[in-house]
Amino acid sequence: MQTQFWLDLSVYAVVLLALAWPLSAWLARVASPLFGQRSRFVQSVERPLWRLAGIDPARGQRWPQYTLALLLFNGLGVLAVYLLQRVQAGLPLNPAGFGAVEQGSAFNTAVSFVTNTNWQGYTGEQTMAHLTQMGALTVQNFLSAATGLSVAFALTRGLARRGQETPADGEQAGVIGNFWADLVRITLWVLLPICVLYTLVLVGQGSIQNLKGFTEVTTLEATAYDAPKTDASGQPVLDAQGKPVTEHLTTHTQQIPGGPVASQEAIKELGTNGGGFFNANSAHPFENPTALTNFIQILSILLLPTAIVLAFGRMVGDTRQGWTILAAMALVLIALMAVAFYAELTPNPRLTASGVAADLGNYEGKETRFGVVASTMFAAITTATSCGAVNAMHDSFMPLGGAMPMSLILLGEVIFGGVGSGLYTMLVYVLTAVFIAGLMIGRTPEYLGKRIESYDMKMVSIAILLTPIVVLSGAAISVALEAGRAGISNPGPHGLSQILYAWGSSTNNNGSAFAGLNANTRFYNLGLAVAMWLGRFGTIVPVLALAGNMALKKRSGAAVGKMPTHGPLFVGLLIGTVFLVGALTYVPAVALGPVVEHLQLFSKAAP
Amino acid sequence: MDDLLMLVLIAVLFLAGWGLAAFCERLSGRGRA
Repeated sequence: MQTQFWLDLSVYAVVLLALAWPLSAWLARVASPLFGQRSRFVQSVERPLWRLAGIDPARGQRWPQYTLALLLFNGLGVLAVYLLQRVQAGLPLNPAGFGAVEQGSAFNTAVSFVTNTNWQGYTGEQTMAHLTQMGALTVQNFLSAATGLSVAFALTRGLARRGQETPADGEQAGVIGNFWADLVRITLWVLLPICVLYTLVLVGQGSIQNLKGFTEVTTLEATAYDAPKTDASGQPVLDAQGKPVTEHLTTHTQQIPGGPVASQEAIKELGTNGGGFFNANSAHPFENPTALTNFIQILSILLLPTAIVLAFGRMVGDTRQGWTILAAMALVLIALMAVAFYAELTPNPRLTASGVAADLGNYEGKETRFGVVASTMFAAITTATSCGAVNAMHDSFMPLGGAMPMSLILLGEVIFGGVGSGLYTMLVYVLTAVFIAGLMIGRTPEYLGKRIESYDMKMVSIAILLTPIVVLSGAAISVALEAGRAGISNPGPHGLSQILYAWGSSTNNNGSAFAGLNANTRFYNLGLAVAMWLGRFGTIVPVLALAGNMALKKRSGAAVGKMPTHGPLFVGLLIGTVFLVGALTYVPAVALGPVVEHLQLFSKAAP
Repeated sequence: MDDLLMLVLIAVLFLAGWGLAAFCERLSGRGRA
C-alpha cells in the first residue's frame, strides 16, 4: 500500500504540473487589461454583455471602488440565494416537492456558497429543489471562485505595477483592475469552458445529469433496517431515559434520487467549492462513480490553485517567484499528507482487538471503492485547498489522521488554498516573511522591488489575525454554551475536535466537516455564517487595500545586497513563517483535541 | 419575523465589510472608502 501511495502521488504531481503550466499562461493572458483587445472573437462575445450591464471593462478601478463593487455583488448574491431557498416550494423544477428551507439554514447556506465555503448543514437530496441546486448553489460555485481569482489578479497587478504606467500601456497608476471585467472574463473564459468538458467526462463515467425526482425501484432482496419511531405529529418517540426509540423495518423498495449532478460536480471541484449535491458528497457513486473520476476530481481541486501561483510568476515578470511559492506549498502538503497516510495505515486498536482485519488499515468511514490511499490523498488535498468536498468521513479518521486535514485548514488555507484565495493569503505570509527577514538582517524589507512599509504591515496584520480570532473565540463560546455543546455526538477530546474543526473549516472557507457534529441548529447556523463572512471578506478587504497601496509604489530594479525572494532559502523562510505565525496559534487547542485522543487510544492503560 | 431577522443580518454583514474597507482607507490617510 505504501508503494501505491507514493506511486499515485508521483503520477498525480506530473499530470498536475503538465496541465497547470499551460493554464497559468492562459490565466495571465485573461488577467491582462489588453485581453479584450487582442481577439475579435473575444470582443464579439463580450461586447453584448458589457452593453447589457452598462460596463466599460477598460475603465480601471482603484482599490476602494474595486472593493465596493465586490462587496455589493457578493452581498446581493447572499440575498438572491437566501430568497430562492425560501420560495423554492412555489417554483418549477422541484419534482420532489420540497418545501421552503428553514430560515436559519437558508441564511447559513447562502453565506456558505457565496463565500466559497460550501459548509452544508442540510442534506442536499432531501432539502434543495433542482432549481435551487442549479440557480443558486451552482451559480455561486462559479461566482465565488471568480471572486477569489479576481482578488488574486488585483493583488498581483498591485505588486507587478511599475508605478509609472500610462493609459497607453493599457494601465493607469493606482489601478488594480476592473472587478466586473475580471468576474466576467474568469467565468466566461476560464471556468465555463473547463466545466463543460469536465461535465461530459463525468457523465461518460456514470455520473447522472437529469431533472428527475426520486425513482422508486423494487429491490431483489428485502432490506432490513432500524429507524427512529415517530408519533402522530412526526416528533421522535423517546424512552424513559430520553433516548429515541427505534423500530425494526423491512422494505422491498428503494428511492433512487435524480438531478443535475455532473454539472454541479465539475465546478464543485474546479472552483474549490466542495458543496455536494448529495449529503455523502464525493463518496456517493452518482457524484464520483469510478476510480478515474476520483483521480480527476483530486486533480481538478488543485488545478487552479496551482495554475494561479504559476500565473503570478508570469504576471510579475519573474517565474521563479511563482515556483518558489509553489515549492513551499507542495513541501508542506506532501509532508502532512504522508503523516495522515501513515496514521491511517494503523487501524483502530479497539476494532482489531474485536477481530476486525488489520491489513487494510483504518477502513472506518471510508468508501470501499477508494480505500485508504485514495481517501487520504483526497482528504489532504481537499483541506489543503479550501475545497471541502469529501470522499471519506474525516470524523472517522484516526486521531492523527484527522489532525492533518484539520491542521491544513487551520494553517489558513495557504497550502494551495482556495481558487485565488490561496495565492493572495500566501502572499500575505510572503510579505510577513520578507518583513521578518528584513528586521533580522537590518535592511528595508522589499518584495519584487517594492518597499514594505507601515501601512502594508497593518493590512497584513489584519488579514492574518482576524481568522484565528474568529476561530478560537467561536470554539470557546461553543464549548462554554449549552447550545454549542448540544451538537457534539462524541463528548471528550473528540467533541472538542468536532467544534474546533467546524469553526476552523467555516472561517477559513473550507466547508468540510467532522461529520459527527450536528450543526443544523440556530446557534451554529447563525454563528458559522458570520464566521464564514468574516473569514472571507475580513481577508479580502485588507488584501485589496494592500494591492491598492502596492500599485502606487515605484518598482526598483534588482540590486546587490537585496534579499532574494526565490530559491530554497526563501522556501524555508516562508514555510517557517507559515508554521510560526499560522500554526502556533492553534497548538494548545489541537493538543487538547486530536493529540489527547491519540494518546488515549494508544495508551497502554486504554481499555 | 425570522425572514426579517435574516435580511437584517445580511445587511449587517455587508455593512461590516464596508466598515472594514472604510477603516482600512482611513488608516492609509487618503480619505474614506
